Amino acid sequence: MQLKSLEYVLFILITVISYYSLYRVRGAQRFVILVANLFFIYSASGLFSLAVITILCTAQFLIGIQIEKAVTEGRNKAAAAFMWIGVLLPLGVLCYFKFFSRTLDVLRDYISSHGATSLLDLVMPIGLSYYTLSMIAYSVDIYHKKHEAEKNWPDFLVFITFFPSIIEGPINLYKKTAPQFKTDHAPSENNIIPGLQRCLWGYIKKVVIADRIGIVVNAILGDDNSVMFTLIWAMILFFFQMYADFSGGIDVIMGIAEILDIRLTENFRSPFVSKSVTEFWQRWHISLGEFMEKYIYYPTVLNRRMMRISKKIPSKYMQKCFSATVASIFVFILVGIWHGTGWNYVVYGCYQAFFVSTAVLLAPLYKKSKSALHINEESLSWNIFKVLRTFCILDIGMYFARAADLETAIDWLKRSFSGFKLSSIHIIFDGTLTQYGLDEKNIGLMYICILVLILVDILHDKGIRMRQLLMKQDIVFRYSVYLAGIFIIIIFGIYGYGFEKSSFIYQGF
Amino acid sequence: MEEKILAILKEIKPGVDFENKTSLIDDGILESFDIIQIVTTLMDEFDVQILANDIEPENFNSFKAICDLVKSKCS
Repeated sequence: MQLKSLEYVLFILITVISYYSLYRVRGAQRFVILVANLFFIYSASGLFSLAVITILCTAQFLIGIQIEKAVTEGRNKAAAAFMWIGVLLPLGVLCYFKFFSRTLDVLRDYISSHGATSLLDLVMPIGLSYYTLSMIAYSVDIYHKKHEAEKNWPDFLVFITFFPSIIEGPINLYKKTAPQFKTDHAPSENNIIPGLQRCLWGYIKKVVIADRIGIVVNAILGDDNSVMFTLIWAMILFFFQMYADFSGGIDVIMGIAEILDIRLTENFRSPFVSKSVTEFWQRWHISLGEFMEKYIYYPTVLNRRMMRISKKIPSKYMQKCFSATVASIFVFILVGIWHGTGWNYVVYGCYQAFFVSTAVLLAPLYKKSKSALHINEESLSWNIFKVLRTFCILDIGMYFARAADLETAIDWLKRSFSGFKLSSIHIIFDGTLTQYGLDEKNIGLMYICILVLILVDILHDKGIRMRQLLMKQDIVFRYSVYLAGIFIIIIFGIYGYGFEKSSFIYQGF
Repeated sequence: MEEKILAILKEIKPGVDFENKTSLIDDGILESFDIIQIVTTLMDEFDVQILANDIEPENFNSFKAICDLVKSKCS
């Protein structure tokens, strides 16, 4: 069952009706959510996924109680030992499925050639990359007394397996999310209508925008003869595809949660208006960024050994830069390999780390240069330049994120920039792109969609929320917009062979 | 102590209305490197130990919260 299927819509409808029809029965809504969670995991990913998440949940639930008990009794070593088990167990399972299960091809071939199946043949369980991080945060936070351990096993299962966010996040933290499942929620149009609006916008982003762009991008990247601006343009389009796909999926997820009166962590904050790579990572995949910042970055920077080393540096500013730079590099390499196992993802992480850490290291130099050049930092032109510069830097990084391996990424870069001629820009205007799966009208529609995507981001960044604006309009106008949205999905959505079950890009991570 | 903390904050992040802002983290006014600079300077200046798990929005969202954190570490 995919997010983009009629079965999923039907499943949501049944879940929401059951959820609200039982709201007067104490605790019944939790039961509905739990059944929906388990049913979804089973139907989307099979019995194995269900078994993995249930076993991990049970182990983590018991570990949480042990951490709390040891902390309360002042048994610090035992508490730390349980905390590390709570970190290493989900991390180990994640690493096994993400890395080792793919690198043991030889052993897998050997076993299958002898007619047997093994654990090596198992596919990665749905949502593993997301809920294992929630589990790690849960153990660490109990150890640091940020919240109590969950004492009710089904409640813990409800939190970890929450069906909307199991697909592609956001990464939920227990303290923020779990308490919401413990209260009963009355049906309210203040939740249901905005939730439906967000789902509608999310589906438009995925089905109309991301999947349409995907046709051109896949065709260009699949063509070994595409060079220079054609490839560069494909990578620019891919950036928009990735954003529409990921944020569209997140909108659907957040919308469903909102319908159920559950608030999850926002994962995007208009990333395309970012003026630096650092700012971009505060606006893109926010829940992963927050996890990395809280559980990797700060502990690394403030690590006693790290601080002792940095104290040896004479300059006070460079002392701070040193530990922050090391932590940034570490975090971004982790972010890179969280996305995938290939060397291209390691390079992707290092590439991001380079810009984030040099922004800190060279900040005094940048400041002096700007002052010497009399740059007015408040001017619109300077800010537009910074947004475009950030986009270009990030788009180069997309070569590594999109390629299957490092060799392919390097090949694409070579074909894009070796012998580059600015005149090759004509491919945008002369109909060349119509060779890549979309006719002229569809390409025009694709550009309009991208402009809408950017415009909505700019308005959101200025504090203008489209949904709030819509809610202020009269009922006829509002329902006309909803109907238009549904028709846009039906008429302009990309369906047909190869697209009926096209999954979300971040679902694969 | 409060005046000293305010001076540290203004030196690290000039132009921010620290006296009145109450969502320094939530609004993204203080970035991670700003936090690191603030934490390490406060540690040096007041000889206190601020741990990674003390870095929570509720401890850094306002000038008052930062002062309270330092006071709690001094006592």
